[in-house]
Amino acid sequence: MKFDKKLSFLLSYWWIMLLFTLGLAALAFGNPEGGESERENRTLQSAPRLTLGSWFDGRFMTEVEGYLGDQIPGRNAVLNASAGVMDLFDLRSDEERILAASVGRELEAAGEMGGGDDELLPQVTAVPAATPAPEVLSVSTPVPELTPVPENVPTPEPTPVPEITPEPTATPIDPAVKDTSKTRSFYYKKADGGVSTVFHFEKDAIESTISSLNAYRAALKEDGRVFFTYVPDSQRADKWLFNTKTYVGWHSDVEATIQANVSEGVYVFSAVNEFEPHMQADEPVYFRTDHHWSGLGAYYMVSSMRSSQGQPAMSYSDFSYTVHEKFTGSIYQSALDMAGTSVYDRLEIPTELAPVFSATYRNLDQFIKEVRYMEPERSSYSAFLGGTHEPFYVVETGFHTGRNALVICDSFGNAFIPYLAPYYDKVCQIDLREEHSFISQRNASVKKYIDHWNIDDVYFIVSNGNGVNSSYMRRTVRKYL
Amino acid sequence: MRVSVFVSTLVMIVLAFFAARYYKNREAILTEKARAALEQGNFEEAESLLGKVVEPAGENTEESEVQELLQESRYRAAESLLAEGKFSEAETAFSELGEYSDSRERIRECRYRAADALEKAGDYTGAAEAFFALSGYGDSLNRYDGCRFMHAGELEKEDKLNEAFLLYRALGSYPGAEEKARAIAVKLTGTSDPELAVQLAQGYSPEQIAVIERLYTARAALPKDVLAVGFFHTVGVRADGTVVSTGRNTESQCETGGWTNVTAVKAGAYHTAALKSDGTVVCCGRNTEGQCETGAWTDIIAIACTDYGTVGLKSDGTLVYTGYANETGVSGWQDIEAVAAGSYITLGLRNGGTLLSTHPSAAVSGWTGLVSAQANTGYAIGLTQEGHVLCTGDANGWDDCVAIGAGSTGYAAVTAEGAVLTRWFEDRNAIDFSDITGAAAVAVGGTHTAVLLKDGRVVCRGSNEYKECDTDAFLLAPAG
Repeated sequence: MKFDKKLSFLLSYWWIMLLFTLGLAALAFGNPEGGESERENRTLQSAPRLTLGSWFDGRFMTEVEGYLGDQIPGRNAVLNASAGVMDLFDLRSDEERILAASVGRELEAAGEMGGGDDELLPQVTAVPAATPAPEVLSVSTPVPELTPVPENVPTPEPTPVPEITPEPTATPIDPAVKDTSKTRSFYYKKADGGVSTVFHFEKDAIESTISSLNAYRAALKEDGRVFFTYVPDSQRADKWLFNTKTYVGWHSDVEATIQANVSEGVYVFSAVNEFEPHMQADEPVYFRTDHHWSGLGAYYMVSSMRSSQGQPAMSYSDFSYTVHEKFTGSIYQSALDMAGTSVYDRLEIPTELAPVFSATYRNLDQFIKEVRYMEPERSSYSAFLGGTHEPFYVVETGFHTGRNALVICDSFGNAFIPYLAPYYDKVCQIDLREEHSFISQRNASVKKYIDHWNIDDVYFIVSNGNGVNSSYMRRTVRKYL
Repeated sequence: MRVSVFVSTLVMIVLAFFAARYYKNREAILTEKARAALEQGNFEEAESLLGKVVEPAGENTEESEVQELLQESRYRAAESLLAEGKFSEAETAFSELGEYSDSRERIRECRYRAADALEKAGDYTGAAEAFFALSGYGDSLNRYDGCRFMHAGELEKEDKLNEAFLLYRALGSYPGAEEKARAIAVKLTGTSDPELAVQLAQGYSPEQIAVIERLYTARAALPKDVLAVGFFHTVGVRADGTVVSTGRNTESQCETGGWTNVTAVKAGAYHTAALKSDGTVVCCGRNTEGQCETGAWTDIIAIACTDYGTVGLKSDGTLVYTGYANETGVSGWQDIEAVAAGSYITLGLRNGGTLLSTHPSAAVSGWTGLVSAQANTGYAIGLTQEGHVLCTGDANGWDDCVAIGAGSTGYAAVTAEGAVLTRWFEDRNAIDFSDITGAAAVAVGGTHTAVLLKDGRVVCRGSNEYKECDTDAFLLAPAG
């Protein structure tokens, strides 16, 4: 009997000590800045801050609970094991498997994404689990209703095009918007009125991006223009679109701050804010099974950028399309076993409207080879432009406006360029991530390429992985200028 | 005990054997069952059976027998929906088949039959819209006109004479439409003169009618289609029917010296086309996309050029096209009175003043009363009989205009007074013509623009990299 009681006591004692130790380990070895869970596709709780306010309104204890839960050692291993068991018994929906797919490692191996320098998360300061809902912000530029159509089917319904309004008179910039020291965010809007942060943008990242954009503007001719947008990858979109009872929208405010601080002739666009109404209307601006935006998403961004300059925007349906009805992309490939999935995407590859000549060059103007402009027979995102070409890719569009453009991008630029092409004589492309740049082949600064190829406008089209928070926009693009 | 263990083991082995055999032949068994279901018309069952066999589509482009059977099952299910009159569902089903068989064509058939059903149900407005959307498919345009005529009749019966009149007017030379329009106009205005009655019935005041007549006279006096610009060259027709050109000639686009009896000239990116008085068309320049293959054309009354194509309007109101593949879509157009083209877009101005377009960004079903139109990348402009210049997505407020031109960087118009109005999408592309008087026509390019003066001289401004603006020696057909 005595022995039983002793044993019972010891067992309880060791359990309590174990839990206490795990808690201490979480506090000691956890990431005080939270970090991000790719598997869960969310930002983890950062170290709680004890203040009078946070104590009395309960935030502190909520943050402690969240921090202990998110930072416990071995958490990822437990989650992976859990996912494996659920897949074994087919307990997860296709959407859950897509959301859980970790794309980064696989894509690095495939050379699709930048490695090393990618900084998906900024230096995060502690954010309470729930913040008061921000002001409901008005939707950005109204865009026409569009329905992607099958190839070779005349698109009969006239598509209303945006009104081209005269250039608005300059309005004073709100100092609060211009203030780069204030943390900016990209966040989901929740159905309960709260927000869930995806990224924070801090002063250093914002100011570095501003410097990069201004540097490129200064490198162009007097009437040259720089356009910039960062595009969230589709897993950020999937998290909203697969959980529409929880999330009702998203918003990003860093672009307004950047725009308020850049030189004249630099135009900053928010793909987040532009796409929100389209996503709320269930338009497929993103793929669900591939981490890229769709051709329709890229088209909307081109239209928005061109319309801002007073140019009539072509209709999406002006192009004819090769359609792959059951496209499954990069996320599919990494979401473990997707056999029997019911989630597919429709991949529409535009056919060019004029004869195109595209080729790669090195050492400023040394011709390497002609490359196929599009590869519509591929049921893959790489059907756009046949993938990324190195070191310097030039598309002679077949159109004539007397202007040339340079697109500095990651793979998101590949769907963008076909819709940009009709507005320029030449569209050049360069990817400055080391995996795609082959510096030794380029053999000249980007400025020299700009001058040699008579570039009028520069477009920065990057995913969030190479966006404001990444060293790509903050340092790399300037390093090679 | 041992016996029962032996028997149960034996039973398990036998069951396992049959299970393995079934699994091995599962695919064949399911396929046969699916084939049988298909023959009996049980498409859902066939698809369900085949779904158990077919792997999810990925990068695999090989057409296996099972894939083929699945596609056939879906195709026949779509056909069945079409036969049952479920046009929307049938259209969806065909569109999901992608490139299989003639699924694309069947989609249009679904829409056509849906429009037909609307007409039979008496919804002439809906049917007209649906047929218009199918312009170029079969007799859609005829059906469109027919529905509008019926709708106009309905409006007449409802005593909505104004609306009926405008609709009959928009029908142009559709059989019976002109007579009906005149009759209503006389009734509305109390004027015995049918022509005057028609003008008054359109809501025009006497002053407006005077403007319309003045502009009509001004337009009639202007030379037509005697000036054109390509990417880097400029071409004109002299009064004696010969052609003069200047600019880049690397692709022989300026080899026009030997042409005679030319009545109109047009230019694409790197080619030039000319209409001769005998109704034939001659071309020079780049022909890699077939844009110069006009040798067999006859009975042509007007021509136009996209960047990489040539369009001919025949006297019967139909169009012929040669050139870059993506710029087709004019087959099936009828009752075309005028043709225009630019960039990758072709426009047809129909009898009655409505506009057809090969591409949606230049498609404006609401424009009526047009006397001419032009198009370029992403937009179209139309000149109305009142002298207004309409533009998709842009409001310019211009009036009293008699000629228009559209380019990739902007568009322009000539006023009855001979001034040149311009609208450049970006200031950096602007070319100034504010000092010009006595203009008769304008041709807008991407980097240079040419203005024909009434005395036949040409003023050309913009980029002169290839001497495309060296037009001082041009003396073209003057205004009448």
